[in-house]
Amino acid sequence: MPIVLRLLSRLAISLALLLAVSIAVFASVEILPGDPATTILGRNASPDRVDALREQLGLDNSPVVRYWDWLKSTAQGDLGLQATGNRSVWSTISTPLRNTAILAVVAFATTSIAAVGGGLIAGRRPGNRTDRVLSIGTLSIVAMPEFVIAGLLISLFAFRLDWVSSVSLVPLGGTPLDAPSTLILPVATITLVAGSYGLRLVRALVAEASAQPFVEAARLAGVRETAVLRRHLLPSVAAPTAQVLAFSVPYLIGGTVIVEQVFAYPGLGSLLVEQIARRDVTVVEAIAMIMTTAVIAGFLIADLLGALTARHIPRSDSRPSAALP
Amino acid sequence: MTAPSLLAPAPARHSRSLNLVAVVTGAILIAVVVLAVFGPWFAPHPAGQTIGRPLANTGADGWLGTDRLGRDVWSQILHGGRRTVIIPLVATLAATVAGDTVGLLAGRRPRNRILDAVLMVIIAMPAMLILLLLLHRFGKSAWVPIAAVVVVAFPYSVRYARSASAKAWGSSFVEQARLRGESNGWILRHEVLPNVAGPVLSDTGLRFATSVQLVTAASFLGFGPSAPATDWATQISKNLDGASLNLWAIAAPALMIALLTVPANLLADRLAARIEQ
Amino acid sequence: MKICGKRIACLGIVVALAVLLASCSSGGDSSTETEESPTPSASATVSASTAPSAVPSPTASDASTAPATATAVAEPAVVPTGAMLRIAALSSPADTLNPAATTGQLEYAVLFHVYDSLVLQKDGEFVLQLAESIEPNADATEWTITLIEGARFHDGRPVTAGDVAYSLGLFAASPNFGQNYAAVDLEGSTVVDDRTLILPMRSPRGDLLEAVFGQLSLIVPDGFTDWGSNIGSGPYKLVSFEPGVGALLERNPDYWGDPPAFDTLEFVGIADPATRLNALRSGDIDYAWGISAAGAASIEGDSSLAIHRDSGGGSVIRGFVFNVNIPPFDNPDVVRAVKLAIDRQALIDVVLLGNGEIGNDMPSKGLPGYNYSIPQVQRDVDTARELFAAAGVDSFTMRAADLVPGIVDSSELFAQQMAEAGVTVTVEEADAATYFNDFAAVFSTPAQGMYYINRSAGVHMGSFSGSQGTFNISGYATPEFDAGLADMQATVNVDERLSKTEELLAMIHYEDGFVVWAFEPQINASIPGIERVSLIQSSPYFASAYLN
Repeated sequence: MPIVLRLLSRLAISLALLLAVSIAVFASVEILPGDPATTILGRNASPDRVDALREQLGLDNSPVVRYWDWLKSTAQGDLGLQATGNRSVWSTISTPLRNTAILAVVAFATTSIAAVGGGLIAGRRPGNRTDRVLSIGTLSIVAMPEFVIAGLLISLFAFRLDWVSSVSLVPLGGTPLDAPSTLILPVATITLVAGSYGLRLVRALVAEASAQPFVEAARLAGVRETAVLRRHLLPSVAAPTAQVLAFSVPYLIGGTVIVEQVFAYPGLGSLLVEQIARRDVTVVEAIAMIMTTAVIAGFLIADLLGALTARHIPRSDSRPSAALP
Repeated sequence: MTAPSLLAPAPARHSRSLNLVAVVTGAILIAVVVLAVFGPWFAPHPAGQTIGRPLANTGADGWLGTDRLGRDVWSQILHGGRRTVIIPLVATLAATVAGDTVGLLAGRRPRNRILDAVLMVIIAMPAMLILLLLLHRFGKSAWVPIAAVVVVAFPYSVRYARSASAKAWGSSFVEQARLRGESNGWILRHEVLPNVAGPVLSDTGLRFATSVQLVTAASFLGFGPSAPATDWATQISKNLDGASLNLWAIAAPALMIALLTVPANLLADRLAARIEQ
Repeated sequence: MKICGKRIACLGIVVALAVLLASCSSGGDSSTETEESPTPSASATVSASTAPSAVPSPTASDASTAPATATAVAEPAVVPTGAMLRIAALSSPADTLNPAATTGQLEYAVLFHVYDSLVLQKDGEFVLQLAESIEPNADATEWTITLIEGARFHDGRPVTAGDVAYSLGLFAASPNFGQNYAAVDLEGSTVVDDRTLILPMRSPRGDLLEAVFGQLSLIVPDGFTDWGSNIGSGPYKLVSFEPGVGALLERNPDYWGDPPAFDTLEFVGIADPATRLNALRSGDIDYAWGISAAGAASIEGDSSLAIHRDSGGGSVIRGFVFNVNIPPFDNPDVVRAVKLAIDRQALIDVVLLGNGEIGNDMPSKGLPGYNYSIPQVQRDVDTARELFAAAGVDSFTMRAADLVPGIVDSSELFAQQMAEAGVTVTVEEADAATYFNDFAAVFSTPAQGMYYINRSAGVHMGSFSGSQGTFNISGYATPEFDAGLADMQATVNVDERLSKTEELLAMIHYEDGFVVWAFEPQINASIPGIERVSLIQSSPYFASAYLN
């Protein structure tokens, strides 16, 4: 299939997927108990006032009507007003989104370095001591819940050694980049988890490439290791490695709820937990859609990377995985 | 994370050290599970009983000290193991049964666009989002994390079992069985299942760690059991505040969780490697 | 602010304060009296007319009504220019700076610094701020508010009676405070001149100053709606505000009152008490509003940090609420059995790590109108067991959510204590964030763990007891109590009203399904040397604070 056609068909599929996910999210938020009117009015409100506010917020309309309204305005780029309070959804989520995006970009860089570097070191000579240590180490890390890893990092680096702050306080009116130390522990936790995962995937690619006859031949011919790496290994694993890294994007955006909670990082994950408790349909919808859009975009990029090159990463069905939450 | 599942083939040589790893991890795993399952029987104090000062250090009040309600940490560990081990286990089994049943049947015709679409919708939703939505819809219950694990793991189990069984469904043995007039059920039982049992088992093992992660995440966010019932993740999240007074109140349950998931993952990986050979 | 290094000192001050209040009962309700007694009214006038001095000094109100506080204060040191104070508080990304709509703690703290109020409930006392006087007529059917001279908003406009009418209208129209303003006939109000507003009542309210204005009476400019760029008349100007992140405030150089010591206040939003403490430890903030008892214990003896415990007006009521209309608690013997079976001191020792004053099933200890004549309930497990057995009660369920840290803990310990009286209590833990989403559930729960900000008795009962109480979750509303409450609220004379309050508290103590097991001082922590931080209700107020 020509690349343009492939791109278009993938885009169409992605949009359909987004639509399906939005229905799933909306339905699950809609049927939650409680409603924003009582949340807004607080503990002293009378039932009359609650009813009046319900009407004002349009909560009396049927879910189908509300979903359709939301879909229409979202398609026009208007996320609407949040159900609790009079702020626009965008103003509520923009700063946390930016914070999560900053965290994701920095963590993506470190994750890539860890995954590619570690994968090359471990996969170059499959079965040697370094490989085995890395294999056991990474498997152990991906096995542990994130709050356990984060807790270990906090106790060691924040309390025992007193090197970094245990809390990610973003300066007022600034970004996390204004106080880079706020990023250290969250990035470290994410890098350990996603990097370990990526490392195992890259290692497999490198190990496979290392076993290729032309690599063996080059080594036997006395070509220096760096040259083998540069001329043979890197080119043959570059494309699938890029795919592996693209697949880590969804985790960086959507999977960091626990990490953000542990370090009190003011990102999308923390906001999601809070807004789900508040039953704010519009904000939860918006966050869920941003997260799923990131996931789907990650898939799309990975897919296109695969299409751009002759090599395909083997489909996910072929081996068991330790998928991360 | 929804990356393609492509775990590195375990190093094939050095089988002696591999076995050592397997033996050690297996022993740890068995010890932790035994401790978790039978712990309540030999706990020094009943579940959730206040025995002294809160957050007392190691010493007079038990060798691991006390937690925020003055309860013996060691007793709480022994009482909290069952839930921490059994709920993810049940969830893993449920997810395996649900996913693998669909996957094995789907293996007959691996290209099914409707199934693929359903799986993609689930994959596109972050696991924590699924968990949080279910928790708030159905409240605090052990069944919610179980349901979340089943939903989250479903697409991966289906794809894996479908891929593993597709080869078997297309094999010449199955062809011959069909010619003999055997039913699909007979073929599934006698030809497909034996061929995919190993891979499915190792897949299940690796899913267990994921299950523990989701289930403990729910407890960590405050959706764990109510006292006197307890689990290890709840103990961590509830005692974080007092960690500087008695570190063991959180270190002990954290260690137990690690001793549960890490060996399980290493062991399942060894199993996968063996099947690969 | 009472800064107590030791619990004993704290208790001493509280007792001194309590004795003072019980004996002369002038306290905060004295604003309607003449100038002879040291009234908040007089003090507000004094501070308003005093020329701004370079160094903050104790205000007249502190010196006159709270001797314990005044003696604890050393001569203030001069704060270097440019000094900034960073304060961590509970905040939510969804909150606003609309004073009539916000529910956030951080937001309230910001608002109290940016605005002045007619009346402030400061350190348990009612202090007139923008009002020179707030006077009722003889039968409390009409109130006259007179403003001080010289107060100006940050944009230079003077604060006038029209601004007051607009601001009160905002609160009356808001869902959060509307109920509170139900008796005030705002449509019938008259702006007499720039400094005078006459408010007729729909029904007599002798306690308008404390129970209504004392809750929230921030004065915003007439017609103002641009929340987020708030303009007030307070000691600090709002520079920036970001929901969930925080707010930056700078000193108002033209403030009509004593100039504040700190040049800038930075409020930082941190939701979790443990995280707030960690931020303080690592030097990211200077003042943590609200830390847990365990957190306080963990920094006890750390000379680089100071712990502040505030009783009286800054404390929290720790209790259990039993609905007297729902079985088995519709049987007074069962309620009595619970009150006898509970071990209050054990709850304080374990849940609050010893930091709390024992409760006697009444609100408002340490505040005007508290009834000290009722003997403390003593634990009597045997009698409780007999009462439970006679009533046929062997189990019930207690609903609990950590609305503040420790509610679930206290319920779990309560369950252990009830077991000693032969009753099995199952603790049903609920989600704190959504606890009040479903009012029907709260009002129909037989037993639940609960906390209240410790408000003066008249204020507390108006909201939380009787058939008019909008949040009466114990359902206690006998005709005698209702009549007594209405009578108390209509009473103009302060002493008379306070003695009626004590009688009402006695009814609550003996008949209500309200167990108060402790008054927990609010625990804040800071870098050492921050002196004279006040508490407005429970919100820290830094207008007169300085760094020693």
